[in-house]
Amino acid sequence: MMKRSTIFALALTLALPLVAQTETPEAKPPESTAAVSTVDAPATAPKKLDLLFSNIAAVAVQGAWADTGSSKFEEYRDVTRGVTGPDVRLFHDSGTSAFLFTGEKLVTEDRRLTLSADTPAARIDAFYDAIPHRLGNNAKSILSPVSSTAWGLSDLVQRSLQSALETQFAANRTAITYPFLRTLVEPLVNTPYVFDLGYTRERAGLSLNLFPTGPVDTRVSFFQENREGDRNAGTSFGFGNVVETAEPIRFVQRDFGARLELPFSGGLVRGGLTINQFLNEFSSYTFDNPFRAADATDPNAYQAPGSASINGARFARIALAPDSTQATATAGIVYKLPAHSRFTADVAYGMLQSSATLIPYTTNTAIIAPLNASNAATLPQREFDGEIATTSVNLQFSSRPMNKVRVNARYRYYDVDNQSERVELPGYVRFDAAWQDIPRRTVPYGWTNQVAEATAAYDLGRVTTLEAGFRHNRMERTFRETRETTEDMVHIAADFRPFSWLVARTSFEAGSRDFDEYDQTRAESESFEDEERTNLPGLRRFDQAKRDSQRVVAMIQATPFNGPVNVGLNFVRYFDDYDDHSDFGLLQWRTQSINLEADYTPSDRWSVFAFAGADVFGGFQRGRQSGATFSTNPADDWTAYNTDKSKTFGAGLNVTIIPDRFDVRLTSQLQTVNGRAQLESPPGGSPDLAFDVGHVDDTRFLQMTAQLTYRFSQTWDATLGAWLERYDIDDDPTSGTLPYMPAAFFLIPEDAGYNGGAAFVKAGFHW
Amino acid sequence: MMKLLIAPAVLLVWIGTAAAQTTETAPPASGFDITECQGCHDEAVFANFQHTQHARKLARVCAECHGDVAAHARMEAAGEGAGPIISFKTLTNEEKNRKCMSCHDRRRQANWYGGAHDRRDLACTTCHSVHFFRSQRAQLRTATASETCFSCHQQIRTQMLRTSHHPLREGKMDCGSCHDPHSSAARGMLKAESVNDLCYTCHGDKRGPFLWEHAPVRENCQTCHAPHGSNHEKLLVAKQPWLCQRCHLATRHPGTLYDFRNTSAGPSPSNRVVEHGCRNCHNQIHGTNAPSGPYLGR
Repeated sequence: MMKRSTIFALALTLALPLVAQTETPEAKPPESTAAVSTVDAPATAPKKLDLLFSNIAAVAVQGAWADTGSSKFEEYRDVTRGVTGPDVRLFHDSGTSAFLFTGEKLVTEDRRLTLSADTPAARIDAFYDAIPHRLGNNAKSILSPVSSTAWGLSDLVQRSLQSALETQFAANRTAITYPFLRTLVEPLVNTPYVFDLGYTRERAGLSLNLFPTGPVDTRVSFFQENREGDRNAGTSFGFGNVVETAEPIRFVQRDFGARLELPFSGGLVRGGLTINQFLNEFSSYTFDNPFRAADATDPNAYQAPGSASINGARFARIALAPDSTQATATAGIVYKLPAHSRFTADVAYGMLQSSATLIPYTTNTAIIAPLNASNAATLPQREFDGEIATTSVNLQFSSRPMNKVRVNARYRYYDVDNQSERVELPGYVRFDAAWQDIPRRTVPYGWTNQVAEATAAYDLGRVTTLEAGFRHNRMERTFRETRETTEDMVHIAADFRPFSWLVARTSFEAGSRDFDEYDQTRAESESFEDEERTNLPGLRRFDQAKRDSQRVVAMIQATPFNGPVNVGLNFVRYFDDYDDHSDFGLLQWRTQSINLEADYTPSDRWSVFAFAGADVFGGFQRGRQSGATFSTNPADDWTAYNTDKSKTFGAGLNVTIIPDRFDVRLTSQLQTVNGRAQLESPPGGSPDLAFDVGHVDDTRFLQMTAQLTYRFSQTWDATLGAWLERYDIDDDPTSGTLPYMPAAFFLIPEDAGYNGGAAFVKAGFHW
Repeated sequence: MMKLLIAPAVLLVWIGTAAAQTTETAPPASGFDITECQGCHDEAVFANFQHTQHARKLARVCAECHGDVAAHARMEAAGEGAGPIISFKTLTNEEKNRKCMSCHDRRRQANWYGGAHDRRDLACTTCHSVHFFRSQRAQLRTATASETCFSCHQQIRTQMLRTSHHPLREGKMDCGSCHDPHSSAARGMLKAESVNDLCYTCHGDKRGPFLWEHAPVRENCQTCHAPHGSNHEKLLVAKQPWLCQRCHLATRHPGTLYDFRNTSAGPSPSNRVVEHGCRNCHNQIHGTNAPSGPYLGR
């Protein structure tokens, strides 16, 4: 990685000489030609504490605690015990140039540094940011890391388990049940490899705005991000044998951008180039099968271990994300026209490219017919190069032809042309267990989206503005159930400003989407060379299905009594209804949110704020349970209504006990979310019964903070602070998961609830 | 690669041709110095304003935005009222915007007119303050960009508090990481040509292209993810397996009902529900280069 210190050294190297070179004696202001002011300036300006632009160095001593080892306590942050910080701010302003450096929590794993230099020759912005991603503490794996790209189990243990299974399979295969397997693996489960799941993102970037007052606005930017660590991965040997592992992460992502902008009398022209590169140190990783020491195969091996089979591969390999590059060139113009009108046109052309050496069909050396599937030489090709071209055109016209009238029109075209080659494969291996003699071919999905919209607004005096509009959205897709979907939305909005202190805004959108045809067989068959496949009749995938949609947004903001009180009320509702057009799949989706906030600032000495909100996310869907062939029995139907309902409250108080001396800040926020899956099935069919899942990611999050700051002088201050958090989660699908459950080994890291907090004393030096 | 060079090359030629048409954008100087306003407007002039580009680049002259300050001072001294001074408190939002855009009608602000915020009659001063700002960058009225956005988009704040979230409340990102509030061509004011292009700038491992692709992934990340926050892992809009079953209802296990009995709290836990649901096996959900990965399990 380009070291964070390198980026900053580069920025400092650029900034300091620029500052030095542009240091000039303060320019004498032009002589006033106005009459001499008779207003005398005060002899000495009152000294104010320059809160934003001053020099600060602060260090704190902190104690922290949490009653559990949950990773959620430090998910994206570092809660340090002991000396924390320091926090630094250095500022210099010569009158013609300014230099600002900030550093937060410099000794912690979530440190952040920024550097800005503003000079006549250039503006420089640089940053470094470290973001921990703690995904789960104390994960427990029956496998252990053999290398960065391999999770393994001792051959002895694998042989032992395989032998036990072979014995049982020969004696009585039907006894290979979960209780039997659990007994078999108990020693493994009881002595797991314990580790923390997670990774660190380190990001550093630099942007230069060259010649900011010159005719051509020139900007160059670069950022690099390194990610190192791991994350959980569902890895499986088949229906009966999930072995959750940790996928290694060694990513580098780089982004380079250059933009030019040249104003002219009629507007401006602009253009740019961005290149984003993703690099993955690892192309694949492997994980052992606890139940196999030697490769074996049979047609049912993907169901192992169980009464059908105990065969399979002794280890498996997962392909990881390939290196890729995305480059996009843009060009555009903004052209100003009479009557406060302007025309904007931007075009962009991009290319996404990836490159990978393909792994073999399988790791299972026992699969030798119809080809030696573990030998990469039997692949139809060794390399895969993916390529997607993107083209976008954006045209916009806005105008205020008359004082009370405003019109806008916009057209957008975005095309994703997936030019990746179609690879034909004679078959594939299912879960590294069994060859599937089903010729397949890859499917390079692409799409084109066009949106045309127009709005017109009219001011009814100074109090009311009415707006109406229309939007037409066309989506064309390749290789999917629909070739073309079109959606038309009408839109009306109104803004009311009856008083200078009151604004109300409302908008309503309604429309519907249609498709040309819905051909399940075409879509499902696209990846099969010789077979025709289809899906459940009546299923309409919601991203293409016909639907009726409504959007409502309403907002009121009031600032009565000339400012000390500010109240805001906000309501949002989105509703997508597929029910009239689809028999199965998602039938309804709605989100609804209502929020209220208020703040009261009667003087410089104190202010208080509070907010409250309630929102609902709900999706209703229908499915049908089928066996080997699609059921036609309505009694086999089932429905699921999944909802999340949240309530959020917050409040805060800022008080200046002694002006310029003693401040107190208190905040608190609480959010509860209740999730539920309401499930139903008519009697008589299969499933026949359905039992609700009453707790689906139910959470409760409470946070309280307090901070007291005392300024001993203009130079020194001290802050005493504390924060408390309580996070609870109740989730039926994951609460109580065991390390080995039917057909699955899980890592079960600690990522659930906690009570925790911290208290600190911070000393700050200002100059 | 050659195609990528054509557009910038054309642009450079155009720039060269248009160079003769450039006009000086720096405002003309006037004769009333900022220190003379400071006598009455000390807090507006002295505090943080003096360190801003407005103070430096406008040659320390208040008249550039506020009009005939000399007449104002004269009339105030004579007790004749404020005079012809331009106070932003009395301007309409459109008048304020035209004032700001007289200098700032370039870069991202050049997209302002016709955008959603403009159509809702927001003023530059709705979010920004020239004299009494609280942020170190962009002169916002609040200490952070997110606080500014949340003053209207309150539902996003409550969504951000959900358990699965981008690190906004930890201060590692803000609304401006993904959105351009001055408007852009992409819907939702995104800072990229499409939703996916934006997500790929940080999540390049999802970009591909892959040998085996997952169609809705190629189309729009928001088909499955709620970037502002969710209570389900990985910012998913719904819990698995029900999320996947919105589209996958094939024979056998995809179309099977999974209910409380199949959770880890129930009597018949299933690896299609417990922990990561469908992703316990179909982990490569965004696409894979494994030849045996048509079902995204390798």
